[in-house]
Amino acid sequence: MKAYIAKRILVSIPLLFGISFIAFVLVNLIPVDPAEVILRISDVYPTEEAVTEMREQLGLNDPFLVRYGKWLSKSLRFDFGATFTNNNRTVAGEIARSLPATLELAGAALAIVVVVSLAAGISCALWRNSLFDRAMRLLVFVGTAMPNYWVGLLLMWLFALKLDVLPTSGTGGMKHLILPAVTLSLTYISTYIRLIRNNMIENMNEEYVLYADARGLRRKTVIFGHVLRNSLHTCVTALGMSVPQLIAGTVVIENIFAWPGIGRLCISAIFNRDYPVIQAYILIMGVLFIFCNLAVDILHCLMDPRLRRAG
Amino acid sequence: MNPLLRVRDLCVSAVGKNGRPTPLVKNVSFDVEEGMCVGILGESGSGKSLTCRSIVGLLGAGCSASGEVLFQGRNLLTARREELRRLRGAEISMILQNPMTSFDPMVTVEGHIAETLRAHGRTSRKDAVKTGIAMLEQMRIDNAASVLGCYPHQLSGGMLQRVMIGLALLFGPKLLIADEPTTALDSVTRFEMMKEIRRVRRECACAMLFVSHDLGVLSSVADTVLVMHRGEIVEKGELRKVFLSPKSEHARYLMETRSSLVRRFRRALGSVETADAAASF
Amino acid sequence: MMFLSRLARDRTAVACLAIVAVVILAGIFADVLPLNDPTKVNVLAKFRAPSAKFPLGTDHLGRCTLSRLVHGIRPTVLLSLVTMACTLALGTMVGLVSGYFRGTVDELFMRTCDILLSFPSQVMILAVVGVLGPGMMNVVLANIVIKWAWYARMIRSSVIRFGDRGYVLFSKVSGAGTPFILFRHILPGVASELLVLASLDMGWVILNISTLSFLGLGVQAPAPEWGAMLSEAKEVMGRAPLLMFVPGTAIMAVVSAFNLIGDSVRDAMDPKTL
Repeated sequence: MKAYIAKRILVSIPLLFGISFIAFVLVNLIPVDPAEVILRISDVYPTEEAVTEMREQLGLNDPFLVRYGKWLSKSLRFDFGATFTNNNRTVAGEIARSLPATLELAGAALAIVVVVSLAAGISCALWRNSLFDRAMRLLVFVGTAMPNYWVGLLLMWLFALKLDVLPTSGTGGMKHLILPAVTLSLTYISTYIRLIRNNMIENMNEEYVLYADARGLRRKTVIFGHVLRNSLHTCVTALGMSVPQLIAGTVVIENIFAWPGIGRLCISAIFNRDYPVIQAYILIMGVLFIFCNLAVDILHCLMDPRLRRAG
Repeated sequence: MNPLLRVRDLCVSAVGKNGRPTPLVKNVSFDVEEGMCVGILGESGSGKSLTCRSIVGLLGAGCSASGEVLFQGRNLLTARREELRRLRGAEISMILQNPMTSFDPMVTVEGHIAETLRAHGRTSRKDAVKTGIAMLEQMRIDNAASVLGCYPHQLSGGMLQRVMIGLALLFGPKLLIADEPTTALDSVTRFEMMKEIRRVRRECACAMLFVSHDLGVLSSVADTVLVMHRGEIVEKGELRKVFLSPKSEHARYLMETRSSLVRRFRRALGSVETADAAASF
Repeated sequence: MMFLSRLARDRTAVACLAIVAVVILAGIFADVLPLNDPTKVNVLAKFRAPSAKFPLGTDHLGRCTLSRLVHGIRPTVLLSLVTMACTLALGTMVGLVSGYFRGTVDELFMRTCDILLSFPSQVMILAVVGVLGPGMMNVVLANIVIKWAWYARMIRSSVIRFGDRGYVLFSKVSGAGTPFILFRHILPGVASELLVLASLDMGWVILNISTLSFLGLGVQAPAPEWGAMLSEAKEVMGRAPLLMFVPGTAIMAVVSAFNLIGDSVRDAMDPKTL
């Protein structure tokens, strides 16, 4: 198993390079000259000499790979430079400011997704084709067709405006967290309920269930001791993959509920043409994704005795 | 004397998607006396597995059974679920066809033994380990202690089949139902397995219901034979009588096909013998 | 094709196809339909309730909601179809070439796909739009650039499976030219799988494009688009909730229709449900 983990880590390294390369290339494709922008925001008129001098200073005339190397080494030290909009603020600083809020939101949403989809998925599988199961399947179907921002707006209208029990925006405690977290989770709950339900039903048709019944095991033991244990294996893997998706999905939710996270930072950066911020966002999201993949793979390996010993 | 198991007019049907029931097993009737082995012979789809499963109440969703299944006087088809559960594994045990998929890949052998014991009231862990080792040793498995800690994928098919037989005998069942236990094994392992099963029969004196499509296997263990074809019993009787003078058309067909294969096998062996004889001159 | 006759017998699929067809036609012929001007501003008529003149009421600038809804079909639904078509075309071409010729070409394409598929597509699309700037064309381009990899992968494995079929080998042996084999044998074979993938994914494309427009990165005002309409409705939720219900329900209905079609197509193709 140690060999497997080592191999997975090795494979991740080129991927990490890949994402950093893509982040770097993407932003270098833009027609805007960073030298000019920096001069402008420092209130210096960008004459030709000033621009050329600034380009020298920033090392923009170096060959492509040299620039990439320099950028990469600076990024590893979390030095992404200053934002394009305000010379006094660093990109790293902005991200550090907004990341905790996003993590809080994603964490809350993850908790909701795990609890609700496990409970509903297992119940649907146990009482297959019952009224509850069919109602859930209808909800899941409708849920995947609804745009999540629309659900957010509807919930906001219902709870914040009509019933006036929850605030519409901003942070500041549990009350503020509920609507955004619930909205964010709803998108993924539908997918996972269906996944868990189908996985459990598949496992219930396995031969070891028949054999367990033939040995006279109680229904409860069979379901929780065997079926669920085998299902959890797949479910944990799937739920683990939802973490980066949740973090990516915060973009829209933060926009609606004015939640000060990196999603909102990225959107305003896109509108302000603040390329260093966009670049850092891509890099961070990519790295996070790769790490989550790796963690989930390792967890998957640890949980299955067949993979654990084979290594 | 009343037979241990008495099956009368057992019918199993499945309800299809359109709501109409399809009969899968029709009017099956037979007796199993104490200590005797009844073989059920038939090809795939003849309904032999369904018959066995319906006896212990393990039909899947969408299937229903009717008729009478009397085990020591109790009608199993009308018994409560909990009553059936207590019978299974203790008084009526089963061994299944594919040992590789019958064990939960996430649970060790010890785990399987312990949960079987727990299901029937024996909850001590020490007891589980002791019983487990004794059972494995009785099934002629070496290194019993280390096998206990193994996961199913670490053991061979033959060994898992032995564990399965051992598990079936834990509580000294009165009836052992074997649903094609040798079908998934290669011919050498099959031979070993049949030796084990014959030994089990001698030592435990339990009645057996042995399902197979292999005449050779049945001939080595069954006393009486039922031949099933398309859900119905087409021939019933003592082993030798059914094999040597089959009355029904289907049984005759099965015997003839098998004996022609055996004749070719013997002829092939015979030519080797004469060649050997010639070479030794 | 037997699959078409099976599909025709599925009433849900037929109903959904009809709905989708009506929507598409309405979008194409939006200009000739008897509707109010979707961009005509009339501040005096703002927030009107549904009436004969404005069947779904008006928005905060007095524009007819129904008219904006119908004109919004073009960017929301039609453009999604175009995106899907281009993504399919690109992905299929790469998949065909990659799967048929194998070798270094295959390796190159698949490594690229690997990297593209390693990251959440939402983030990547956002990144591409971020770099190119807001605008409908950029949104479409971003979607195509990111999603083709997934289709290329699927088509490639299909092609590899098909390449071993008897009639393909026979064609090769009898000297048929490569384009002939590709288009006459392999493409029809993978077409069915393509269809299933596309119809199931269509809903995602619509949701994605409308989300980007909701964030303001897609259509620019005053062009009507369902996601953008929802963005505008957000500001005036309290006064005119109808503005929020209408476009959202429309998106949900169209995406549901596509999802149902996708499920039916998949069931019709699946030999096990015969």
